[in-house]
Amino acid sequence: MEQRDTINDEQFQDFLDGRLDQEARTQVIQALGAQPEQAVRIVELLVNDAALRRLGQAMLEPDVPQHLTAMIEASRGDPGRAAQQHRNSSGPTTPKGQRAYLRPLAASVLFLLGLGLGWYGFDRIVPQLSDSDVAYSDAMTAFSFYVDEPGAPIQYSHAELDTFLPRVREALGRDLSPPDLLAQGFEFLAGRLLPGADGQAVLYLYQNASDPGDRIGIYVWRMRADGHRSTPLPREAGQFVSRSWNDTDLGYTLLSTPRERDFDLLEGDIRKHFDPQPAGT
Amino acid sequence: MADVLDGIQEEIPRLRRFAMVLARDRDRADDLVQECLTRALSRIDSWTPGTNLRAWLFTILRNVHLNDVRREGRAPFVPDAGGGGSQGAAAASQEEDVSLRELGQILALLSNEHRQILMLIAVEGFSYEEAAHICEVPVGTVRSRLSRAREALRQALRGTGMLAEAGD
Repeated sequence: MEQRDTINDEQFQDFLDGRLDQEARTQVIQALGAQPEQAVRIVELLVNDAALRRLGQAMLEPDVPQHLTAMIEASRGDPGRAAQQHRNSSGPTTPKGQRAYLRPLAASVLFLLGLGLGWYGFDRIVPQLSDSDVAYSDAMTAFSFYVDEPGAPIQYSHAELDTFLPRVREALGRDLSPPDLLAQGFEFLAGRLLPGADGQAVLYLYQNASDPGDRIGIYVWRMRADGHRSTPLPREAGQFVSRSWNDTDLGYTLLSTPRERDFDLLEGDIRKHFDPQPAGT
Repeated sequence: MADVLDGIQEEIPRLRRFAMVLARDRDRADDLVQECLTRALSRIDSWTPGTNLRAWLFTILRNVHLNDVRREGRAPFVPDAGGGGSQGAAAASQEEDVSLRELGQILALLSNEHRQILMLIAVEGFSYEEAAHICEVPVGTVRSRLSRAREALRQALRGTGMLAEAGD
């Protein structure tokens, strides 16, 4: 039993990479409940991995230089000979001469645009994921960890609001108490501070009285710049449905498993609580 | 044969992405991919049908890179070898937001080994065994290297303030 209460690094990595069977995974989840520091660490690493995947996606360039595809095409007749021809060809086949003037030009444009891009960004001006896309992905990642795991660690329980709310104010710049959703059958379960697209984000987690408890989440993140109120955007991804909207400086995503429930009422209560001024006014 | 060539062609975007991680320069990255394709096409008979074509290509690409580094006498980029390289850069950006762009910058500050293993496992989705084959190290080394890489990235991101409060 004691072994079940500790997680070694091997289990930790296997959990992150989905290499554990259901029983082992459950053991890790249970052990995380007794090790809050490890639980926080695993959430951070899950979020980091998700961000790396988004970065990798942004780095993927579908347009391949013609000289590379030409190698394949030339090989369709005789692969060995075509490869030899490329090996013996004189001079660089990469069109460096053309790039030679494009590169400083591109760098100048970037500088003028004020984009402090690193070496990844230099070649990846377009497409850039929007902050909303990043926040949405972060919301899904965070919620996916908490929604299906009853043993998932709680950072601030409903009994710790006095501690939680000042942290929310620090993170989001506003006093944002959790909305009262009892009329819709959901009770505030826990709150958690998470890394967001631009600084910190907050996940409010609710659970209803069904067995096992059915959970919904509200992910709130601080936008990079003041914006305009938007109407809710419904989305479905994997096992979750969501609605995302924003007010002047905060973005919101309501997440749920796609079960029968009145999303309109939930969304209405949440928006009324967080932003009494309705969209379009 | 046509299927294999189609498969190789489909892998070019991923090869270019990994080459960027290795070389950190688009022109050099494309040169690496070109040499990788040249070798792959000349040894296409050595690829066993039914095995992982992508892993085979990545292995060649990494070897091309290592040969390139040895030939030119350049040491792999390890900015934090002197201690605190990534931490220093991270601290410098405390006031900045951490977006994908900055994640790219922070990733670039990790050691070559750490960047490679993060890309192979977390981005490309290779198994530990496939990554071990590509990097020509035991699976245990992949596991420990991955653990250190993830922790290094986590600490670097914490240094930006992005994660500073999450663990409190």
